Amino acid sequence: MDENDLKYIEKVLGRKPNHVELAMFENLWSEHCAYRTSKKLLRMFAKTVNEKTNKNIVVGIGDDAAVIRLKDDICLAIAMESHNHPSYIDPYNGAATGVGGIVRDVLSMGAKPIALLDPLRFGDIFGKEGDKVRWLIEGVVKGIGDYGNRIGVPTVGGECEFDSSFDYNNLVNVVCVGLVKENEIITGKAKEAGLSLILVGSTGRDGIGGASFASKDLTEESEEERPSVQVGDAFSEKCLIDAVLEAVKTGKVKAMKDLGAAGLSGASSEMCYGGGVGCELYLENVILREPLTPYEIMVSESQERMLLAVEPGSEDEIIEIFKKYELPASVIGKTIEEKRIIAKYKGEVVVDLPLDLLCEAPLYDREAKEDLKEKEDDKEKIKMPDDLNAVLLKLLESPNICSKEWIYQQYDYEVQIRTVVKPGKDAAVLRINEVYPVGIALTTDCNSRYCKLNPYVGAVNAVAEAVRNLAAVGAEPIAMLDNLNFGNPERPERFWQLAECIKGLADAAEFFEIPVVGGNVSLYNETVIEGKEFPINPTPAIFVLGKVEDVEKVPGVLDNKIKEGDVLIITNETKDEMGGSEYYKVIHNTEDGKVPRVDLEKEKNIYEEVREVVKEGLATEAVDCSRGGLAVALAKMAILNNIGLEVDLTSYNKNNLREDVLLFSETSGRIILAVREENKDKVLSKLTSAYIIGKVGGNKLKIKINGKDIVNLDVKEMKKRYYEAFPKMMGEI
Amino acid sequence: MKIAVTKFLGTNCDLDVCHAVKLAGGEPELVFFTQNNLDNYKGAVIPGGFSYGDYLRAGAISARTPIIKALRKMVEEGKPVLGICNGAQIGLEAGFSKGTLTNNLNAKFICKWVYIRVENDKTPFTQYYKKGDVLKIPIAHAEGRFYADDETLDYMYKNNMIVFKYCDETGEITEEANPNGSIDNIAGVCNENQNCVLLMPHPERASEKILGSDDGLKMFKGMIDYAKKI
Repeated sequence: MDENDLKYIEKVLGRKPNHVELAMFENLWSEHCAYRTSKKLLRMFAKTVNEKTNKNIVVGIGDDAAVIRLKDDICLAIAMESHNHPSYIDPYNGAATGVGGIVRDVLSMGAKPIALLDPLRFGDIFGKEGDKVRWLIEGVVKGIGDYGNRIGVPTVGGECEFDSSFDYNNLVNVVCVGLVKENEIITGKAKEAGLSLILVGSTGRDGIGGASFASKDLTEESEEERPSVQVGDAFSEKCLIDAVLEAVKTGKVKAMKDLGAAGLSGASSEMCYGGGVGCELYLENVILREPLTPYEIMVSESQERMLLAVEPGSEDEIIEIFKKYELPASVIGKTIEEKRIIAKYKGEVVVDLPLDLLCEAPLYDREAKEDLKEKEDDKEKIKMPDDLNAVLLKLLESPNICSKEWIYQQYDYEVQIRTVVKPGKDAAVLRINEVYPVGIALTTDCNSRYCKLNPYVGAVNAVAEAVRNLAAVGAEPIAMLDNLNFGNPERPERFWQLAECIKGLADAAEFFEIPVVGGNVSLYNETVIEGKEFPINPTPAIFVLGKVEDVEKVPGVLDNKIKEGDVLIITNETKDEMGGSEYYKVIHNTEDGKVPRVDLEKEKNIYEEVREVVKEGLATEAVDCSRGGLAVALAKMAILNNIGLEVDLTSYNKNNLREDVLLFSETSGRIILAVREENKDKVLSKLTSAYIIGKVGGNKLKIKINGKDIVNLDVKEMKKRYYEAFPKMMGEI
Repeated sequence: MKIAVTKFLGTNCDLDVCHAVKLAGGEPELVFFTQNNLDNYKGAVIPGGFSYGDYLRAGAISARTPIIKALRKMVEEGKPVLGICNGAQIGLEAGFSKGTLTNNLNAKFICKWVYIRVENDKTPFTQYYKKGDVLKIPIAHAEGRFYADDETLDYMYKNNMIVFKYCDETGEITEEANPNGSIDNIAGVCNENQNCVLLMPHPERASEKILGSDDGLKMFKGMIDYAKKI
C-alpha cells in the first residue's frame, strides 16, 4: 500500500489499521474501486444531465446500474463494465465472470436481465502476437457465450476491433440491459438501521485481491496472478437470477448489491455508506466452501454472490426462496445507525472503521501532457490504386470490417424472444411487449484509432456514430454509458488522452441531449517490455440506449424489406477525411490524414430527419457509413440483403474528390437509405442534406462515376469474402 | 386446456414457451422439477436452456429428477409431449425416443436461423404441416448433433420416428444445410406412438413474424388441438 495513504489512514483512525482493515483499504482504495485518478474528470459528465435530459432518469449515476424510464412504468436498468486484466491472463474465465458481474449489477436493481452486448478489442491478428490473439479470441468468445447462454440472457451486439496496440492488453467490455417496473426498483443503498443483511452464495478463496490486481500495469509476471482471476459458475448465476427476482416480489427486500470488486468489504460498506447508515457483520455466519480466515472472508471475490438488506422478520421467508433454487444463504449482519463497518468473528472485533474514510479515498491530481498524433497526409505519396474492386474486396475481408458472425453465432441472441433486429447490423432492436409496439435499440461504438490520433475528436465521433446507428433504426437516444479504457494514467500523455476523451464524450452527449448515467474506468492497460511502453489506444467505448416508437417500422422488419427498384439516398456530403481510415491502414499502411470532424449542428439535424423517415416506415433499409466509408457501406447493404445495387456518384461528388477518397473516406453524418420509388420525393422533402445516388437491382454492386464503372462486383463474391474472412483468420478454413 | 411447461434449475426458455403456447390458444402452467404428478395436464412441453448447467452431459441430471416419472406416464398415456433443445436432450436421456444428441461437429455453440423439412406429418405437433413443408426456424445449441447406430436408425425410419431434417431454403437435404453434423440431417425425432416429439430447433422462437418467422406456431396449435380431443 502507498505510504502516504497509510499515513493518512493512521492519522484519521488514530491507530494503525490491522491486517484485515489494511486489506480492505488496499482494495477499496484501488483505482478500480475508488476512481482516484478519474473522479474529478468524470464530473464533466454532470452537464449532460440537465432539464432537457433528466425527465426519464429514475436512478442516475452512483448505483450498481442506472435506471431509465422507457414508457409508462416500464424502465430499463443499464450497466457497463470492463474485465480487461483478467481476460488477458485467463480469457475464458475472465470474460465469463465479466458477464456474470454486469448481470448481477442489473439484477441488484430488481431488474430482469434481457440483453448483453460485448465490445471487444484484440491485438493485430496478423502480427507477431497473432497466435496469442487467436487464443484470446477463442477463450473470450467462448467465455462470454458459455456464461451468457447458460443464464438465458441473449447477447445481441457489441464490437470487435483489432489493433496492434492491444497486443498485450486486450479489452473485454460488457453491457447489460434489464427490465423493471418503476415501483419494483431496488437500489444498492440501505437507508435504515435494523435491516437484516443476507448473503447469498458461498464464499471461497478465489479472486482474492482482484481489485488491486486490476489497478496496475500487466507485466511479464502477471501470469503468476492467475489466482486473482475469479472462476464463474453460470448455473449458479441462473439460479440466482430466478431466485432474486422471486425474492424481490415479496416486497421485503430494501436494498441489494452484487459482490464484485473487493467482495463483502465493498458490497457491505458501499451499501451502507450510500444509504447513510453503518453495519455490523458476523463473519462466522458466512457460508464457506472451505475454511477461511476473517481476512479472506472480507476480500474474497467469489462469484455469484449477492448481499440483500431485508426487513427484520422476513429473513426466513427470503432464505427459503433461495433454498428452493438450491442456493446457500444466511443472515450475516444488520444495518446500524452509526456510520461504521464493524465486523466480528466469533465475538471478536476484527474490523472497526468509519465508512467515510473507507469509502472516500483521497483523489489524485495527475499531470497531463498533450500528445496529438494526427498529421496531414501527402496525397502524392498515396498512390491511387489501379483496381478499386480488389481494394474493396480486401477491405471487406479486413479484420475490422469483415463479418463477425463467427463470434455472434456462438452467442444465443434469440432467447427471451425479443430480438427483432439480430446481430450483424448497426444496432440491435428488441421489442418490449409490455409497451408494444415500443422497443429499444442498443449500440456500442468507438474507433480507438481515431482516439489515438486525436482523442477529443475521436470521442466525439464515438457519440456521433452511436446516434447515427440508432437513427438508422429510427431510435431516439435516451441514455449513454461509457467504458473508459486507457493506459497508465501516471504517464502524463495517457492522462491527457483520458481528459480529452471525457471532454469529447461529454460535449457531444450534451449536444445530442443524451444523459451520461454511468460507466466504468479501466486504467493501466499498458505493458512495459524491456523498458518499452506499450499502451493501448485510448478507447472510450460507449453504449447508447435508444427508444424505438414502433418496432414494426424498422427497416428490414416484417414486409418493410428492401427490393428491386428501391431508390438509394445518402445523407451529408463526403469530404477528404482519411486520418485513421481503414482504407489507409489496410491498403497504404498509414494513419496520416485528418480524422473526420463531426459537424454537431448539421449532424443532429440529419439524424433527427432520418429518424423521422424511418419512424414513418419509409426506409426499407438504412446503413451507417463509418469504417471503410461509402463503398463498404454499400457493399454491406448488398451483402446483408443479398441484392445488387447500381450507384452513380457523378453528381454527388461535389467536392471533386479522388475516386479512392470518395469511396473510402470516413466522413461522419452519412447514412444510406433505401426507399420505395413512390416514396422518394416524400423522403427527400424531409431531408435537408440528401442526395439520390442510385437504385436497387441486379446481383452486382456497380459504382459509376463520370460514365466509368469504378466498382463492379458480384454480390456472391463479396459475400464469400465478407463471411469467410473471420474463420480464415482463426485458421479454421 | 392446461399444458405443463417444465422448469428445471437452469431452464431458460420456459417463459418463451409459455408465450407461444398462449399464442396458440393453450393455457401454459410452469411446473417445477420437484413435481411428480402431472395428471391434471393435457400435455407438456420441456423447454430449452441449460438445466444443471449441462455440466455433466446435456440433460443427464434433469432426466433423473422426480418430474421425469410423471412425464413418462404422460408419454405412455398418449398425451402430447414436446421436448425442445435442452428439452429434447432431456427427453432422449430419459429414453422417450431413440438415438442420442452429442457435441456439434465444430465443437462450438451455434445460434443460427436454419431450415427444416417436415418428414412426418402424423404427429400431434406436425398435423398442420404437410410432409415436405420447409420451416424457417432458429437453432441455439452446443450439443445438438443427432446420432444413432445403423440398426437404431433403421428401426426409427421403419417406425416413422424421424420428424424433421435440416434442409436448404428449397427443401433439399444437403451437407451445407446441416449445421451440426447430425446423422442424415436429423433435427427432430419422436417415439413409436408419435405423441412425443423431441427437436433441437426452437419453434417458440419462430412463432411470430416480428421475430423473423411464424412457421413454428403450428406445432403448438397442433399440440393443443390434439390435447383437446383427449
